[in-house]
Amino acid sequence: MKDGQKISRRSFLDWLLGGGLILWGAGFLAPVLSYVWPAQSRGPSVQTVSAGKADEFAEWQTKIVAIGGHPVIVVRTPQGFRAFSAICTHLGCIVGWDASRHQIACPCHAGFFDINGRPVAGPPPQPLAEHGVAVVNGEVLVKSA
Amino acid sequence: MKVPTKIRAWLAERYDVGCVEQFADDQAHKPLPPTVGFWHTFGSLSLYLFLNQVVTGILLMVYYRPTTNTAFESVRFIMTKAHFGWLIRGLHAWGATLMILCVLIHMIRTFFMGAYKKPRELTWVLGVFIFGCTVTFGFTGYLLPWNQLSYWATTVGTEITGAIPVAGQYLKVLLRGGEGVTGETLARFYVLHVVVLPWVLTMLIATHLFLMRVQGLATFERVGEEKPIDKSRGIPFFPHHVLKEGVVFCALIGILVTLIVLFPVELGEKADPFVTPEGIKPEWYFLPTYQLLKYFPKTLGLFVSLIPQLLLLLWAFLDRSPERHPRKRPIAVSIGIAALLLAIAFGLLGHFSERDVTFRGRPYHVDIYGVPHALPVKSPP
Repeated sequence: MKDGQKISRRSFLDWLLGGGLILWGAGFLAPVLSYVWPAQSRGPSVQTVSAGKADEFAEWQTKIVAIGGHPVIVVRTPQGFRAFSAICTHLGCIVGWDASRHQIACPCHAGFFDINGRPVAGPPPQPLAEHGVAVVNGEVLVKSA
Repeated sequence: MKVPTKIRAWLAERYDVGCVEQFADDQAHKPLPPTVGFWHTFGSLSLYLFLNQVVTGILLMVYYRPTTNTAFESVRFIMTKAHFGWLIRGLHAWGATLMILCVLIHMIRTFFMGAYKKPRELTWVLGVFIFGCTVTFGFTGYLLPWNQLSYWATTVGTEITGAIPVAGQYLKVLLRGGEGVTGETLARFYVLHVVVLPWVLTMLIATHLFLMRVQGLATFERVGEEKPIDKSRGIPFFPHHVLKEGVVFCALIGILVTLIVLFPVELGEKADPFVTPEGIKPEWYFLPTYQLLKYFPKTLGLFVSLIPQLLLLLWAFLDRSPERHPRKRPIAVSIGIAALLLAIAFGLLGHFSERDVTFRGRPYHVDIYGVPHALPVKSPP
């Protein structure tokens, strides 16, 4: 290039060659990156799973059930059944039931959620996602979403 | 003519053997600064431990099977059925802990002796990357036995990646091979642990050693005033320093075997993705970060925990004073001591948090933030 005005044929070819080499490298890299990106299959969007017979649950008794590979905690309250995602919104540990506090507790960093899934103590930033529950013919059915 | 002489003559007819011999002789008899002592052996100890990890790692791979159905069982097989399997796994697990410790001590020594200063800034940066790579080795290897402790430590550890703004969720999925920690994660961590990281670390160590050999070891002389070490005032690398390294190497083997025998590596329970055990804690080298993350929201905590690592990486460029001797660098030395004390304090808080402890005969419950609460003393029946 002379005086910043004209691009010489040589520098144009240099740029073309450099750009071509970058594109050539990207052509190799793209399939590698897309290969390591997990191939995720999506199942049906709504699933219903049985958590067992309703009369097997005492008041404030809980159970963890798997829906599409995800753990869900089912609680029998005096008002009926509630179900929440059992994955703590802080760092992904599985929550359990703290019988003395009547709260959902995370064993990793002492996070607590009330019976509506809202965080009440500790570091969890968000509430637990709620799942729909229905009792049909004495069976507790939990929906995936 | 003796056999070695015959081999040398055969090679000399084909290659410039003299050049190679001259190079090896120069390296073996290179004079080291008189300040070189036992503290300087921690770099070599780290290298010995890396070699130990390579050899025992290859041996473990003979029986190890990286799937969720077989990983735990194969490690149990190594521990209980394979001849000396307990020793090989012990050497690998304790070797990893000691390697991280040695790399840390080596870095601390370099920091306090001002050895990172011009012209050795890049050697320091490579050293920080070596430390990062060693810790990543620990993190990826920790999952491989597929037990409860390793499963949940990995779940929490990879979840933190998700807190990085914008790219966090993508990185988490890429690292885990999906949304959760599954067999895909195990396969990915295995590949990283046994193929990718060993090559990366080998290249980092090779470049680090090359730079160290080319530039020589630092003295306490001011930046720009270093005099070349001649043979009259230097310590010969061979045999003086090599013998010193031999002594610490033997001590290291003794410590390693003692630890394996007195504190055998446990296997615990097989990973259960639906049950998180109480009081799950990471390995000691992650305890300060683990505790720090409790005081801040997830994203902010991540940034706060990145600050010491960034400082470490850029320290050689931030500290512009020409002095190397610790007594002439009060600010840098104070910052170093403060950082060390903070790391130890956070580590201790992380270790004792969420536990019941007894101090001077009184029971206490240490809460999540490390604050002790007195428990009622049980009266004897």
